[in-house]
Amino acid sequence: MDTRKEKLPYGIPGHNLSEIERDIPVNEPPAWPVNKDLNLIGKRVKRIDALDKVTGKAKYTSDLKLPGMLYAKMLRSTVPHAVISSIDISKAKQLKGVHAIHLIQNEEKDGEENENGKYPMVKYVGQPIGGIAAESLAIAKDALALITVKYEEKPFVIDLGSAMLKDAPIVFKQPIKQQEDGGDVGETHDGSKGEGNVRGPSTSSFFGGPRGDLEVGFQDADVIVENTYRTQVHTHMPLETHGVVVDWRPDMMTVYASTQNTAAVRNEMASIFGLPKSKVRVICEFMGGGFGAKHSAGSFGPMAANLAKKTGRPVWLMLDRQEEHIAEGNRPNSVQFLKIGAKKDGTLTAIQQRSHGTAGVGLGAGVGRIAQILYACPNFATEQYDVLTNAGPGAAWRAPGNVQGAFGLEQAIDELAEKLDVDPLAYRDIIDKSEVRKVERERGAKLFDWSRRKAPGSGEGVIKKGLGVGQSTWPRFVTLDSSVEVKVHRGGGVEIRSSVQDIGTGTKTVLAQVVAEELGLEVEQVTVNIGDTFFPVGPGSGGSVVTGSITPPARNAAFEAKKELLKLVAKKWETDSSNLSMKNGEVFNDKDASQKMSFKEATGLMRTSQISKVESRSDDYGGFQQPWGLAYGDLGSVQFAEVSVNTDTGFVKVDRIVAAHSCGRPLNIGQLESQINGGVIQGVSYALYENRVMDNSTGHMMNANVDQYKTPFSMEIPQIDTLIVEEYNARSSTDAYGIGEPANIATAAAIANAVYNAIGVRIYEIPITPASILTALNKV
Amino acid sequence: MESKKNAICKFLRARNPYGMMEGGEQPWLLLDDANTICWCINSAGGVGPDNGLVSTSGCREGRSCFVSDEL
Repeated sequence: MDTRKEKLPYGIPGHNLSEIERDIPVNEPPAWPVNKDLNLIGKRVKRIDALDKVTGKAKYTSDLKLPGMLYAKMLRSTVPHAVISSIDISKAKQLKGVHAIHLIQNEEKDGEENENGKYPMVKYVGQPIGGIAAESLAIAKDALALITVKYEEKPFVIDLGSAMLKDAPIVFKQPIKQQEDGGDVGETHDGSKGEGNVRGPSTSSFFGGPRGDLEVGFQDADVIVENTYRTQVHTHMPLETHGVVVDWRPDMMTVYASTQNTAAVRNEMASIFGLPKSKVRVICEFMGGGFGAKHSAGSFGPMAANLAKKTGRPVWLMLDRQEEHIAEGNRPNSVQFLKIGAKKDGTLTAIQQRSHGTAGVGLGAGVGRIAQILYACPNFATEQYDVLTNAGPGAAWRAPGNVQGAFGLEQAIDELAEKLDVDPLAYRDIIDKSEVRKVERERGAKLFDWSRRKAPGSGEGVIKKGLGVGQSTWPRFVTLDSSVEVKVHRGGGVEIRSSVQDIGTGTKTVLAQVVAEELGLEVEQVTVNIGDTFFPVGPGSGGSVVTGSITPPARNAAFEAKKELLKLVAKKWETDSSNLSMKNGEVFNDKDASQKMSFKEATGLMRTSQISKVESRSDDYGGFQQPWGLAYGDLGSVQFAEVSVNTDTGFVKVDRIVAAHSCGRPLNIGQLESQINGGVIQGVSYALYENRVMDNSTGHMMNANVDQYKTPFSMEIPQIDTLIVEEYNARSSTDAYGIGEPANIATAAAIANAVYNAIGVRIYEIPITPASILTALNKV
Repeated sequence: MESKKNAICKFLRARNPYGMMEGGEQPWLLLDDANTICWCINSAGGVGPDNGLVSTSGCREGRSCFVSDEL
């Protein structure tokens, strides 16, 4: 038999905790008990790299200085739509200190003139055209100013509404034709085909397609809510911008990258330059944040490599803040129509969703998943359209589509509750089947004191208080390309290796915790070396997959190493290794209290210099919903918001957020709180502040900086109380999952519902600004 | 959902919203069409080398810039 029976904790402590028996692979370690019975897991373990970070010892990609290194700057388009007729680099080449200029050119086939012209067509302001490597960044910038690009400008369209018009300028050379360019085949809601700049609709995904019959569902409804909700374009603002340092030697290309995915960057660079993967090494030791847009080599990676190839020297290419805003991805905007029907008892009868959004010259602006998944409803259909515009491309942005979708859906659910004359929190008890969110609502409401909530707009005085709630769901994903090597060195050192990167969330620390727990050591006794593609492959840091993917192989590898070490001790003590255990830095014989030795002494019994074990992520216990790694269950969350709205100035202050979350078995409470704090702060920023403002007459982003692109300062960040619900699913040797996405999804919706509760007028568009409040109150 | 190798250009990446396929053996796997950013690593953008839209349905054999994964 390849499996054995194992009983594992199952359910939520304090609610329905029990045990469940599962068939698990025979070589998996025994089940861990619940967290209260573990030494390090589920505790507030300090980040192992905290000191390096706060003292500046930690070196990020942008800090690198290699011998002979050159500094690069990218040449970008200054017009939104054009054919490039010529590029004059003669003056730039002559500038002292300039070592190479690389222009992006269309490939020419033998003896044929490229029908697309010499240079790629420009489709947005900020599109990469070329790059310069020089002895300093200042020289590279000066050289850029000496390049003359001649454009043959073409008509362009920037805003979503204009791009949808029948006579709008076409972003691509051919109008979009629905069947050829993706989406599902079918007519759009108004009978027209998706065409021009409008692509779609997408009506289904691996989560399923339309279900039931909308018409019947709405006929069965006693109450219907029907509204349109709008969200803005939201750009990426990680502390460390995108960038790389490429050191391309004859035998190896080494890429130091600020990336969420070392393996993806390695694979892309290998594909682009026709190299074996073994000849490309990507290293990310420390990383200054990434929220979905840093999964690839981007355009800057190949540019730095081309410049390194031309010069034979390492090339540093980090983007500046303006480039981040205009060219390295954004969360697409959305215009969402939602129609929801319910019976008098609250039961949902139909959900119809239709959305349009623009990811600029890219795709992926849909918002439909959360309306499809969050609440049970027999009749559901969505139509999601991409609207192409002459603007920078979208990119994944912390729970793509779900944050926008939750803003609409969770307000519509509140509106439905009001029509049914039910408290909005109590209404979710009626329609939400999730057991973990039920517990989160109960515990969150108590911590938040939801009973304080008054009727909408009923507060006295100029400053009105409001309370609101929003919910979310995020799927549990696992990446099977997740491997860890655990080494036990003779003399006592323990080392972890994987290509998985720590993007600032604390992956290094949870890996150390898991291995230390298994080996009965302290976290400080474990060295974590990750973020290097020379090590066993690890997952990309996106989709909240890392903890659920990489911690089980880490534990399993430590378990295998422990078994081998214990066999050596057992031989010395002339007993069976199954009688031995490791705890508090010592090896014990459970059947003979007189026999014990330190971990270090035990490693002295090794006949070789190290024990090395590599383990990969196995299937979940009980398998997956989808073979590539969609786990059962969901990462549910409920967030509560308290706001103060000044009805004279329109100023909204978020006073407090209570964020109740689940992520399976929590591994490090402090780090979870830290991630949730970050997600909430981004949610506050999305609800009230951040907004890409475009000049529709020039195609330029007008606030591509950190001054006018508003984010919250410390005084605008609310009190955040996190509530982590321990939930055991019995699916792997750690039974842990991530929290990155869930922490960010519900915040804007909860704030919007709280603003409504404060002023009694609903705001259907974010960011909620003083102007939108005063307009809603008929004061301007 | 698309998973057939060689049917899609080797330079296409489907940057799906669930963060899991980059680096895997099926970087073009389309999990959720509505949320997926399609990207050409050759042209480094959502616009292909032929100035056309990058998409899983469009980046196939027959397109002028198509490159087979077998090459």
